[in-house]
Amino acid sequence: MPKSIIYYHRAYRKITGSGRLFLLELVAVTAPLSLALLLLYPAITEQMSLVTQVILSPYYPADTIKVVEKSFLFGNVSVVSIAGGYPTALTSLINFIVSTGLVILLPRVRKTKNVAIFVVFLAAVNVVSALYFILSPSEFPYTATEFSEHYVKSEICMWLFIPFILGIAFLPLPASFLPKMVLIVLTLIYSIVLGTLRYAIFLLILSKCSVIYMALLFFAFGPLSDFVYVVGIYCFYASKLAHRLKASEPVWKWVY
Amino acid sequence: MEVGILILKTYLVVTVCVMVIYLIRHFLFTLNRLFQEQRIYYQDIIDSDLRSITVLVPMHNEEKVARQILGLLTEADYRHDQLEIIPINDFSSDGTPEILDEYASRYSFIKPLHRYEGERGKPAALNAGMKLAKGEIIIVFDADYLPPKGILKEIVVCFNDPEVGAVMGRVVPVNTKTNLLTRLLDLERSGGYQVDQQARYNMKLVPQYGGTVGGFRKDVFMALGSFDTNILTDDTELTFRLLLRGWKVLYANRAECYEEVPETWDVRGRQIRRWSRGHNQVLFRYLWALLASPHLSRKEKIDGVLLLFVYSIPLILVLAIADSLVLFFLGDMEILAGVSAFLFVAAYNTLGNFAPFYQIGVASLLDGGINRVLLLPMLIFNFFFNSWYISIGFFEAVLDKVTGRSTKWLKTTRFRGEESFPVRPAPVYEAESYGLMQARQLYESNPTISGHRTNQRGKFFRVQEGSASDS
Repeated sequence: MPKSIIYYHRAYRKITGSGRLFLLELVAVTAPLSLALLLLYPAITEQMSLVTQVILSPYYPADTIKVVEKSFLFGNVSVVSIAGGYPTALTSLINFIVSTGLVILLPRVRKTKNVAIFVVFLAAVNVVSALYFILSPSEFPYTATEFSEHYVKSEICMWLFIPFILGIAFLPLPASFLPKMVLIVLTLIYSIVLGTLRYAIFLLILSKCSVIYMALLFFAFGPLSDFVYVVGIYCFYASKLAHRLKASEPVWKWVY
Repeated sequence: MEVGILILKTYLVVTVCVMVIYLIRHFLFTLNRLFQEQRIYYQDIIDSDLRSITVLVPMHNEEKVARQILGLLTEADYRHDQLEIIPINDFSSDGTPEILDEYASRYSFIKPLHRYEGERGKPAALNAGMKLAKGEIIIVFDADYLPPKGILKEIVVCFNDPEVGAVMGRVVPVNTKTNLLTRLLDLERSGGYQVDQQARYNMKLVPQYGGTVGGFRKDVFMALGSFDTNILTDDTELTFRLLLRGWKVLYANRAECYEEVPETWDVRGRQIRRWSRGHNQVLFRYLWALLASPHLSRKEKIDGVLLLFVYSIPLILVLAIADSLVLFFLGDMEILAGVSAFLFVAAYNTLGNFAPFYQIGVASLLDGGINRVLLLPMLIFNFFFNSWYISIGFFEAVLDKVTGRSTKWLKTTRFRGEESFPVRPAPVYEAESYGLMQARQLYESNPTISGHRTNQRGKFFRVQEGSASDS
């Protein structure tokens, strides 16, 4: 049966667009959002810390969780001050043995080896941390409050980065500007909300379990995990767009 | 101590700068492929005066796939008096030699070469095959490839341009739907060919000859000298040898050929480790020569250097992560708060997976893919997996360089069985249409690739996602 429409072959099809327009749109996205973030981050972190305080309040006496201010960039950030739990020698030893076991055994996994090696990375970080607490627990350089401060600061860096990286990813795609802008703003809001929830969970782990997991939380579940949902939102949109484009022949151009 | 910390911090900052360079590079590729004028290949040239060609197919224990590639090559749209096929039996201990002899008895242009002496491995096999080859142009296929009917003409036509030394076609996985790994490799290939290679070709940078689905001039190759059997990526080496002598290397996005990608993580790990080792061997050998070459433009040199370092970057990233871990325990989380965010983002999105997520997304869009792009977040696991094996390959290359030891070729395991790609045994060659019929049988009878069809010219395309349209 003959085809009713013969589409351009994928080898040289392209879309119309302009590098200058893209740059303009990128500035239109990143400039206001970055400006808003730079103006609002003291207020955002204050709300974030207050919400975290409320989430954690059932687990601690009222006077043990405080919101304090620290300087960052052009102003202050609010962070939750909380006492961290320190691991016993036995806890450190158990962590060391279990994590070392994972580092040794998991590379032998055949199926889902990519996940296994990711877990090896997590376990390796924990091995170093456990070893540190076995050898010189008194010299651990951070308190839970200092971690709290750095977490908030790295989240601000991440928020500043999201409009830029999503702008780069979204804006060249063949769709109108407004929905892309809305999606970037929604991603940013999602990041702030999720960042707050994760903040509370991290502090709960550090105080109820111990600061032995601080390195793991910072390296494996910090900015790295932020990007999983950023990419997730991008691919969800790209998939929807691809579906729409399939029935939209005029979008595709050929060679020139 | 202070100096040590300064060195660690400097390394971290330098790594981030390197990541920024690669992010910009891949972003430019993405924009170029999406918006700019596409440099088409030579496929519109109809050449009635076909050049004589030799197709080399190195085979080591390839009984699972030998019949399929030979069957398809015998049906290729190329005059048989100008075609020579040399399947190279490279120390096979299975049924491969018998299959080759069977085909040789039926087709005069199939001239198998049986090797049981000397070195084993693809470069050595190709060197041996080159000595017998009579064709003006050499075309190479790995044994697991499924060449469509018209691909020989498509590859050869570019050699009418006297400046062209080698050409590379597009590789498309055929077993995409097998499991998560094959789907992720499909994404990776899509980003690598549809955007990366085509953009480099558009921008007159350094497209890479990939050692299969490609061809090169025999006389040029003979003048350059045979493949170094100690280098595990003969393709990358040939690319740079040609470039350094002023020959052009082209990329033909239209010349698509299906391949079988690894279906298990172990096999994939070994494959990528070999690529890394070979690629870094080439880096150590050709970096300075590349920078000093009078035949290359400045932008070609820059792209060539970035290409040479592609398999070193994951190790640089792994070291940066270790570096940040040390800084963390030394009490320098302050610098990490700002830098680590970018480091991890760049690590995840740039070279751990060979391409940033937006490049793969655009490639998938151009290919007409709809659902496969949803797997992009899964690449986070591949980043650690790739970094692990690429780093091992890097250290092996360093040891190769330092000790001068000889390397051993490890063949990539095949997964295909004849039951999944039935080929008519002992064909009676009667009609030209048989090749098309055979190709259709191959694809339509296989439930795992039911989305693939052939068009009237015998080109493979998918009717589902991945390549929605074909002319």
